[in-house]
Formats: sequence, C-alpha cells, structure tokens
Amino acid sequence: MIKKIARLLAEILGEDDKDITEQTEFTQEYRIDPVDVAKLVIVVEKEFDITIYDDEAACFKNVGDVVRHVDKVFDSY
Amino acid sequence: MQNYENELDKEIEYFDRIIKLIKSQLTKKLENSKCNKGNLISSRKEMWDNTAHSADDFDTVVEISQYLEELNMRTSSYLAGTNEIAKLEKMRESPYFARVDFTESEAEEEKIYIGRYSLIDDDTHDMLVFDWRSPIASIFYRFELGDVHYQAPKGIIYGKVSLKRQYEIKHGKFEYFFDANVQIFDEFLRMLLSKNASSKMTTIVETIQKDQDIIIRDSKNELLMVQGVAGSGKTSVALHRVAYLMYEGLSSRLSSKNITILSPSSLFAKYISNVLPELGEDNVETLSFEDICILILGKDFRVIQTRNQFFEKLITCSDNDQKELMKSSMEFKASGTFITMLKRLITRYERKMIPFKDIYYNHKQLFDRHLLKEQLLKWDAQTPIAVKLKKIETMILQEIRKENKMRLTEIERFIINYPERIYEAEEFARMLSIKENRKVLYNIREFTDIDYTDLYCKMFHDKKLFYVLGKGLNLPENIEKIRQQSDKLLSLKTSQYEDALAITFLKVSLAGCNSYKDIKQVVIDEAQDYYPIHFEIMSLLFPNAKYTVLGDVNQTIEKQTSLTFYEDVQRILNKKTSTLINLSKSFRCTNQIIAFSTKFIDKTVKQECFSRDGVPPQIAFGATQTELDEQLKVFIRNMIEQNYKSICILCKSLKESTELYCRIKDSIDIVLMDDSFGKELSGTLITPIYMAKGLELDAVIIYNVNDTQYNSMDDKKLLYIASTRALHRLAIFYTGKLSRFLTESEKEDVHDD
Repeated sequence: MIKKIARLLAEILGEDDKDITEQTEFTQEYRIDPVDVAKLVIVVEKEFDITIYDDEAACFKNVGDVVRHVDKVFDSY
Repeated sequence: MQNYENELDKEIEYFDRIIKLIKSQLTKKLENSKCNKGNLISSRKEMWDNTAHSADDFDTVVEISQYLEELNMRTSSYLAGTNEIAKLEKMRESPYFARVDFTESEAEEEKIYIGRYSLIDDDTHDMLVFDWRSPIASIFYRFELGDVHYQAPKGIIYGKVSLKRQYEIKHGKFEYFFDANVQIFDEFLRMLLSKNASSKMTTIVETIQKDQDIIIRDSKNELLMVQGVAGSGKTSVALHRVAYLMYEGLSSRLSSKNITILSPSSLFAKYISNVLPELGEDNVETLSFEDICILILGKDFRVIQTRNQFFEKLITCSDNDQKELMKSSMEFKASGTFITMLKRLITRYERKMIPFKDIYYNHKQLFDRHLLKEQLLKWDAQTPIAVKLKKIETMILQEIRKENKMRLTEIERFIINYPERIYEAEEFARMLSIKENRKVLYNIREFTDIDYTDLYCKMFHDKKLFYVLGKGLNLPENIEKIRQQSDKLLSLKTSQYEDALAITFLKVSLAGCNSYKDIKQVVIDEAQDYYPIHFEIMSLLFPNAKYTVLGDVNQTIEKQTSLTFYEDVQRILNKKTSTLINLSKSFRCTNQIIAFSTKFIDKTVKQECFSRDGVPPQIAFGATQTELDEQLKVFIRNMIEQNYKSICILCKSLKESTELYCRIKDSIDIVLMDDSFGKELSGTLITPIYMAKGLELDAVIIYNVNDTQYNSMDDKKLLYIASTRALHRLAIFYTGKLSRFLTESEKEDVHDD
C-alpha cells in the first residue's frame, strides 16, 4: 500500500517515489503544500474507489496516516 | 532395616517401570514432533511459494488467511507437542516425589504416586503418577496417617491413609525414600531450607504446608486475602495457586492469558519468573502498577514518577516538614476521601464543566450547545463519558459530511470566478474545504476530547472548586498546604507518584478501559504497599476478576497499616465471598535472625518460626567510614569463603548505595542493583532496602545503622524488612552511635564481631 501511495504522491510532486516513506510529513520541510495533500486525497479516492471525508483528510499529518486510513477503509468492507 | 531393603527393592522396581514408560513416551513424542516440524516447515514454504506476499485485494487476503489458518493449527499442534516433551524430560529426571496409600471405604488400597505432572499409561489408561494439583494429592499435604478426605468433582471422598512416603530422586537416579511422619518431614524440610538461596525463586511442591495448601486450592472465595509474616512463603503460595488455578481451569478455560500478577518491581518479576515454567505452565503476565499507569495514561501524562523514585525522594529528604508533607500528601491523595472528591469531580465535569459550543457549518447552525449537553445527559449513565462525547463527535461529523458536498460546490463556484488562480478549481476547493474542516474539528474536539491532566490540575488550582468537592468530608489538618503544594508542583509540570495514580483513576472512570477485560484472576503480591486508590483502580480495570491478595502489614515503608487494611480491600473490591487467612510461621530465616528481627515489629504480632539453627546476627562498629568499609570488605570475603552464593548490602537509599558502591567496587566484585538491574540475583549485590522487598538472600549486611539514619517508626520498619531478607547470615554495620532500635533491644542476643 505504501508503494502505491508513494507513487501517487511522487507523481503529484514530480519527484522520485523512493524518497517517500510513511514518515514523510505534509510540511514545507518536505516541500509538500496543503494543495498537494488535497491533490493526493483526490487521486487516492479515484485510485481505490473510496471516499475520504474532509474531516478525515484534515487529520492527515504524514504519508503513514493516509496508508493507515486506506487500510482501515478496506478492513471495514 | 531388612524391611527397608525389601521396600526399596519394590520401589526401585516401580521406579524403573515408570522411567521405562517415560522414555518410551518421550521417544514417540519426539518422533511426532519431528514429523510435525517437517510439516510446519513445508506448509510455510508452500505458503511463501504459492501466495502473494502482500495483499491489495480481497481475494488475495482470503487466500492468505486460509493458509494462515492451517499454519496456525500446525504451529499450535507442534507447540503442544514440545510442551509435552519438556514435561516428560523433566519427569525423566524426577518423576514423583511422594506416595500415599489410600483406601476409599470398601475399595481396595491404592498407591497414589504424586509428581509435578501426571503420567498415564497409554495402553492401560492407568494413572501412574498424579499431578500435585489433582484433588487426591491434597491428602498428602493436609493429613497424617488415618482418616482422611478430599474434595473431588463429584463430592467429598472419605477414606484412610496407611502410608505416606517421600522420595529423593535426582537426575533420573533413585536416591532414597523415607516414610514421613511429622519429625522426619521437618528434618527433610530443614535440610532443604538450609541450602543457599537460588538466584531465582524455586518451586515448593514437595514441602507445601497444610495451611499453604488450603490457600493454593481455595476456589470458593472470589477474594482471598493472606496476611503472612516475612518468610512465610506468601509469594510461593501465590505462584503455586496460579499453577493450581490453571490446572483446575483446564475445564473452565482459565489460561495464562486470563491471569495477571501485580508485583512491586521488574526485579521481583524477574526473580519469580522461573516458578510457573518449572511447574509446567506458561508464564503469566507480571505487571507493576507503574506499567498499568503508563498503559492507561500514555501520552496523557508527562512523566510518571515510580514508586521507587518516590521512596528515594522521601528517604533522602532532609527537611522534616517537607518529608511530613510528602507523606501526608501521598496518604491523602491515595485515600478513600480523595477518591470521593475525584468521583464528585467526575459528576461535576459531566454536568457543568464540559465546554460545549454551538456548531456552525456552511452558513448554518447545525447544533446548539444546550441541546448537545442534554443529549449527553440523556444517554445511559453506565457508558463512560469519554465514549459518549465521541458519540456526539460522530453525530456532528455525520451532519457536516451531509453538508460537505454542497459546501464544496459553493467553494468551487467561487474559485472559478477567479481566472488568475494557479491551481485547478477542484484541487483548490478541496484544499480550502479540508482547511475549513480542520477548524471545525478543532472546535468540536475542544469539548469532545478530555484533557485528564488539565482537569486534575484545575481541581487544585481552583481553590473554591477544591473545597466544594471536599465539602462534608474529613479532610486532613494540613489540607491547604497539600493543595498549595500540589498546585505549585503541577503548574511546574512536575508531578508525584500519587498524581499519576489519581489521573489514572480519573481516566479509567471517564473513558473506561478494555485492555484487561479478559483477566479473570488477579494476584496481588506485597499488597500492604497499596492504598485505597490502587484497589479502586483495580476494581475498575478488572471488574469480573477474582482476587488473591497477599501482604504483610508489618512490611510497609512509609505508612502505618493495621489489619483494618484488609477490611478496606474487601469493601473496595466488593466481592460476594471473601476470606482472610493468616500465615504466621516463617520458614525463611534462622531462629536467631527471626528473634533479632522481631525487635523491630509490634510485640503483639504473632510470629512462629520453623526451627532452624544458625549463626547469631553480628554487629560491627567502625570508628570511621573508611574503617567500616574495610571491615565490610573482610566480612564479604569471609561470606564468599563460606560459600554463600548471594550476599547483599542493604543501605537506606539508592544515593547511599551508590556512594558505597563507588568506594568499594575496585576491591570487591560487586553489582549495584538499581531500577535498571536485570541480572541474576547472585554474587555480591548492593541496593536500597525498599528495592529488596520480597527477595531472599543468603547473607544480608545492613550498612550504616546509626541513630541519625534510623530513628523514626518508618526507619524501624525498614530494619524489619532488611533483616528478614536473610536466610542464613545477618550483620549490622555502623559508625557513630548505634540506632536506638538496636540499643533498646536485649543485648544478649547480639554478638559483637
């Protein structure tokens, strides 16, 4: 799952996905803007055919949070 | 003698038969195990080769889980086999230790052999050795020759015992047997007790006493309390009881996962960790109260002061007023009175202190704060408040999510009207919506999240609130001092051991806790060190458990405790059936050490001693510290020469222990035992008295017992704890003026070195 999410984020950022881990934070330090997070939420929804509510997306602090969230949604099916 | 030889021939014949059977069962089991191991490895390999190594879709998950199920079955079958093998290997060393010849009313006489585990002949199904925990084995522990009875599943069985015999079988070799009567048995026990202490506690199956057996096999009482003098075998009894409950629980499904042992420290937990595996049972989780606090509070609490850190701070405090304040603060905050105040705080919090807010979203008011409060109070009172608040949060978020689509469309429409934007409208709108949601969520969580530490601090900071909560209660005289001191320390973000306990209580009461819901039996050792708040927390954490509570009210460190302690325990845990059993006979120390240690406790305390002679305790004086250190080194070398395996210097504090350790470590091979100590309990050790609680050592030296250090009632109890750690040798070292508790005592019992 991390590989897929990392690939999606790398495409948004135009970077190599090898540099992205679960610990990659959605901060300026990692050169990730809030709009990149919004883009990621949109593509993750499309890729996995799931809905991420905006109050849920509001709690994403790093890539790991997104991975865990998608896993949780799958587990609930 | 002729008779002995005849009997010996018969016994050896039986022994050979048993060993032959064990060996043949062992061979079979080993073959099976080898086969199971092979199957297990090939199953694992098959799974690795034939399934995907990660699962992104449902079908793969199903496939992997099918393999896993089979693997788990094979693994548990393999593990059960290895467990059986381990038992048989131990049985090959010593298959049984006792025999009783029992006749049930009209039936034929039966020879009942008793061992650590049972042994059944697979062909005839004859029970050749009975597990020491089986019902019939109780007659060995409880009766002499003559009329006996025991509790079997179908009712009480009556009969007669014509012979009680014990065996010494070591390393698979039959050494001797003796027909037990009281005197011979005592000699046997004396011989065992005079051995050196092991680095880890060992089993006592061969020498369980009648009153100990009653405790071990009690299944009537939901709360079993044991008051036992130092060295009476409380911890051993507790562990054998756990083994018994697991044996008995085979039918009621009580496994090691359903039992927990609360122990005073990780050192003690390590010390007792061998007993259950030796008895063939899985080890049970041993927890300290600090572990529980850390698990429950997690990030909700900054730093948890451990009980040992509290003792150290108390013992090394040189300001008497401050010391008294620390003690009274601990006493008060762990008391029933304070619990009542905390319970009132909880009720008040739910009714008056939750900062509900009106919730607005998408230009609308979705919720009114008064209605939210009303909703909370309407829900079932049994549900924890934190859970109800989360239900409210979910309810609000559901409404917000319904509105979210419309809100997003509105934002998007708004953005499209700005042609100079650099992002796509959809992405930008989503970003703004997430930001907006973050703000709303923050507002909601201001009242749906509980800040337990903040609530606790508020109680001390708001003087009016504090006294409203304490209204009508019997508060201590120095309550305002306690309140002010607590407020000051909490505002400095430093908190005491008792604060961690109180916040744990608040959190468990407000949020509930499911972590221990499977626990059916709780064993509490060194229970005298716990306060009402500990038992209140336990009753919340383990509501359905039965309890075994063992302690000694004479071995507290900082508090005065009497037998009413057990009444408090009974009242708080509130179990349907309960009993208090007294163990007044000490087996650990020699007569001389027991006589010496009783000087430090109330004369009315009944303390018998299993008679074992030894060397009288020694008192050594040094004119200076250097001289005393030199004498200490000589004494330790002397103890090593005499083959004592565990020699321990006990100081009053860790600070003093560390200083002494630094002074002597270059000339003596010595280990400092502090909170992080993880080695074996052997060799020469040095530690503060409070850390040695529950342990037993061959030789104990209490260092620097002068009157400046040991003069209060608390100090007197420390001396009792310290001196009763010694199995064989005890020595007191001092400079200056000897402690008043030793000069007051009868001089004839004390020999100068």
